[in-house]
Amino acid sequence: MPLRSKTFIETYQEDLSLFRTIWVKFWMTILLIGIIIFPFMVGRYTLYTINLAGIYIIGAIGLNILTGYTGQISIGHAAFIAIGSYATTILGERAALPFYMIIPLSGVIATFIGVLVGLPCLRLRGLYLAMATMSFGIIVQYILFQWEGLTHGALGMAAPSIMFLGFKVDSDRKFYFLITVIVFLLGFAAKNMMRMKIGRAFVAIRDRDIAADVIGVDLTRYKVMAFGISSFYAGVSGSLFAYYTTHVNPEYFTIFLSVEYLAMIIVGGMGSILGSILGALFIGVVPEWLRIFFGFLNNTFHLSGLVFTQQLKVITYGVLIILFLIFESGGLSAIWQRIKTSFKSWPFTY
Amino acid sequence: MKKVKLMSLCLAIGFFLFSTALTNAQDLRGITSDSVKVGIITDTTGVVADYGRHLLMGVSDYLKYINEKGGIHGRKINLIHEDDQYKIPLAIASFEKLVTKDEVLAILHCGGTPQTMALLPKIEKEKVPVIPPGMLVPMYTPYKRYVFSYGSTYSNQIEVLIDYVINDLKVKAPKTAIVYWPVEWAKEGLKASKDRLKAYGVDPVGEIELPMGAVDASSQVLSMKRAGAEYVIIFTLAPGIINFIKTAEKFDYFPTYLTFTWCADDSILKAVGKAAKIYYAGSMFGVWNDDSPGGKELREIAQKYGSSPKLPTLYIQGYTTAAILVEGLRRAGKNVTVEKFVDALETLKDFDCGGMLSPMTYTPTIHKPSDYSKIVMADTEKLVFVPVTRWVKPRVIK
Amino acid sequence: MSGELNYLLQLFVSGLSVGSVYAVIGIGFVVIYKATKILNFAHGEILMIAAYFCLVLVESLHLNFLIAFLLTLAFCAMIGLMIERFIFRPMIGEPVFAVVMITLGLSIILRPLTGMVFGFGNVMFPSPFPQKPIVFSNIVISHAHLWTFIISCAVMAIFFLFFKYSKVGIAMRAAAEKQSVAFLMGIDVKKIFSLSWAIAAATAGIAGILLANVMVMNLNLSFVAIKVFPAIILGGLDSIVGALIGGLIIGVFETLVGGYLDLYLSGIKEISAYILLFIILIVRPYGLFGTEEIERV
Repeated sequence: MPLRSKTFIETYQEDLSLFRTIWVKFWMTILLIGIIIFPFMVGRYTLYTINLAGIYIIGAIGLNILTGYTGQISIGHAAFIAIGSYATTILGERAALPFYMIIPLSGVIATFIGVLVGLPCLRLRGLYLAMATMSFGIIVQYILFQWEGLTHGALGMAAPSIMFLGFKVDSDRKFYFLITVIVFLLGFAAKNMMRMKIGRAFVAIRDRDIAADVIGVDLTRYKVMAFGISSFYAGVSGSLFAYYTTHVNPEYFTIFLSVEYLAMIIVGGMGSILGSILGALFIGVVPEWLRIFFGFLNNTFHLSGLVFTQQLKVITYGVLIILFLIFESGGLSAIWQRIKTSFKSWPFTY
Repeated sequence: MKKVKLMSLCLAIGFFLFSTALTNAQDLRGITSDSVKVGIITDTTGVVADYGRHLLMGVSDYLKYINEKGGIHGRKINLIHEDDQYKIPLAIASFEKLVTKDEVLAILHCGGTPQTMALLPKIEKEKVPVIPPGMLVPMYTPYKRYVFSYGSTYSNQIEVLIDYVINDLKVKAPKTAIVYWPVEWAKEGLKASKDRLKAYGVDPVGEIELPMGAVDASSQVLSMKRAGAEYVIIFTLAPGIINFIKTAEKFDYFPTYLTFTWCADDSILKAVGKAAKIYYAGSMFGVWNDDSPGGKELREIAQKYGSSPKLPTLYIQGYTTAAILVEGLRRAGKNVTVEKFVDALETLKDFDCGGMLSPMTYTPTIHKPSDYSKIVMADTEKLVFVPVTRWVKPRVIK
Repeated sequence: MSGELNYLLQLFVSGLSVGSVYAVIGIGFVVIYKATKILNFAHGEILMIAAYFCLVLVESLHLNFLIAFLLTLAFCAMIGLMIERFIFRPMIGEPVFAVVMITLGLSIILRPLTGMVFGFGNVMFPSPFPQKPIVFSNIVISHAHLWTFIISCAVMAIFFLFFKYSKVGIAMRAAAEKQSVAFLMGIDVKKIFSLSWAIAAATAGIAGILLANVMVMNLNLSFVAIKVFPAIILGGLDSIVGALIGGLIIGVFETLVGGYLDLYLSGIKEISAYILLFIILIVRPYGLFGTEEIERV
């Protein structure tokens, strides 16, 4: 069997395309087919978990753009997700807009606020930026609790239901397709964005922002853009979250949610769209596996609920973050790349 | 080789996915000839973990007790617990798992108030009877066939208490302040307190928030003292009220405390000791040492299984919730189904778990919480609560 | 003394009390920052573990408070050493962001672990301080708070002198500034790091025990550390004196806001410190006493 040892690119078109070889296109098609038949093969509980993970993916891509690509540490991501969720519920309550307007609108509102936050934070780096975003997150949560006229405060708000071409999108399967489509759209958009000038500018800022300035990268413009785009993704993620869980409450949007998103991109791989996807899937799915696993243990050995499933889930998070940081700073996507190259270059190991 | 590896990987994934697909047999869900499966969703590791664990303890002890006596109509009751960490997405995941994977007949408690609210549509769609504490109006209005709110609302509890202060203790215009935790049920309590006081023509002298993790309650205590409040209505959980009372003690401030079920817990008295000089609560439960048949059975069960709950009120909640479930199963008879169970619950009339719960009455058109609460008072010598009244209703005020 | 003036002064004093608690926690943060340039997000968890450990010693083993206190400090130092050895040693040379993320990961692990070992409920620490407060011309202050204030001042003084004048302290600052150069200058960087973590953990221990004396103990104790961030930023991340002053200022600020504004803007007390933090970060990120690092966009 002839081994592929080089990729021959003969036109600009080929150079620009995301999927270069026939093989890649082939596997992507298989993946696509798999994704389409997936919801018909699994039970509702699994589907629910995957749907939530899909929603996380969108948020994780957003955070990765800000933190992974541009190096702006944010512990306030939950705030933008909250803004997206509440934008959806508030618009749903007050304006009779269809979902395909509300979702992008929630993203835009979040972007607007993201830019407002990004501007004063331009001079901040590292720890200071982290603190600023963290305090922003806390302030947003407070506002959500207190501004009862707008958000019903601690009662939470119900999300509108989605009507599409006459029928209601209300089952896990229907949501699955909606979420998948949006993940694809936004994922491809992000991937392409990061390959363009804007993406390279982001990475330059991350690596050495003073040097980037010297080359001519307009720091203000790009940093603010990073905040804005990241917030848009968070807003859309929040919007879908509100639609899917049907009821939002300020309690949920804490610093810990922000930390959870950070964990997703660290475990998945910072600075990589694939990383966001893998990380979000991981953080979304593993806890539920643990739940089933420990539930199973519980029932077979009748440990009467004293097995600390949720504790262990949280501890696993922490341990994973630490392990990935110490041993594999590229996260799951780096591991994936390594597997791929080992397949590609078999039987040569270098 | 590469292809084989990839193929086997795909097969493994496919198999795993398939194994999680499943089917439902609706009406006999959770019921076999010798067992009944029920679920419960409580927070055992999150922000209100202590409460969730004690609730679980109460429920599982009572079910163990019933099982040891032979179960109901020859069926043992199996309890499956899921933790929701007081978070909506986790509560929904727990619900999905209990209903689609474990296929339980009913869910005794489906997480806290926000979680229950989020689950309401699914509960009706999946036809899963649940027995949540009746805390927010949308849970029972309009009528929901599968949601059996129980206990009395916090509004009811504080109304009964305010009635008592004004009519029985004969304090015409109590100078009252309200301290509350900024969460939805506490705000309901705040509103109810203000409304009831207003109905008597009394205005509160102040209202202030006391968040859960507050390091220091000095400014709150001092403002209340400065406002001249002689009666302080408190809607927080144990750490909050303990913080307030102990801080107030420091400042030589001993108002009469008026509070609700979750603060009618003996553990609070043990923590504050003499600092709570006069302390009343409107409660939906009987006290731990209640002289009623329910109280005796409760203490007997706790002793039997060596449970000495640090939060007795929650243990009582577990006991009474499970008691409602068991009564429903008993009335449904031998050939129980999901629908028959629901019908059976709807025959409950003035059912008060042997004196330990506000009398519950359900009908095929009304599943709302009880209109009755009971007033209990702190005995600062013995550091326990003692009953002051029987079950009372709020008065009608012209 | 008029009622209003009395009210204000009382709020002020209570603010100082709360502020001392923030200060003593903040000093621990600053110690680690000065020695390793790391902001330890797990500081709250360490102080919580210390509090529970002390509780167990005092309640179950019936040890005298002072002995339990010292034993707890030793235990904390040990924890600090272990954390350094197994988690931070492999990360020497890695970017600070990664290390800070590790402390976040650590905090995520330690909290549930503490719950599993010590229980999830609320407990009261049997305080060695007399419960009846000191009353001075109508102003009230509790013994526990007074001692917290005294101890945090003492700790601050010790560390200030330590970092400024002692050989080990200077070596720590050097290692934090530039590990490679410190190494070349003959400083045993490994030992210095171990020592730094041990000391910082012990400081967390002091903070934890003092905190347990003034608050109901439960797993939420670790979140108090998050409330201290405004204090240390205000004071300057690398200034010990700043931690104390920052803590006191934030304590007073918060309490005054609570006493006067809470009735109108409910709950503003809790986030007033964070609003202040945000403003400080925009205007003067290095705080009152921190070393200024001049950078522009």
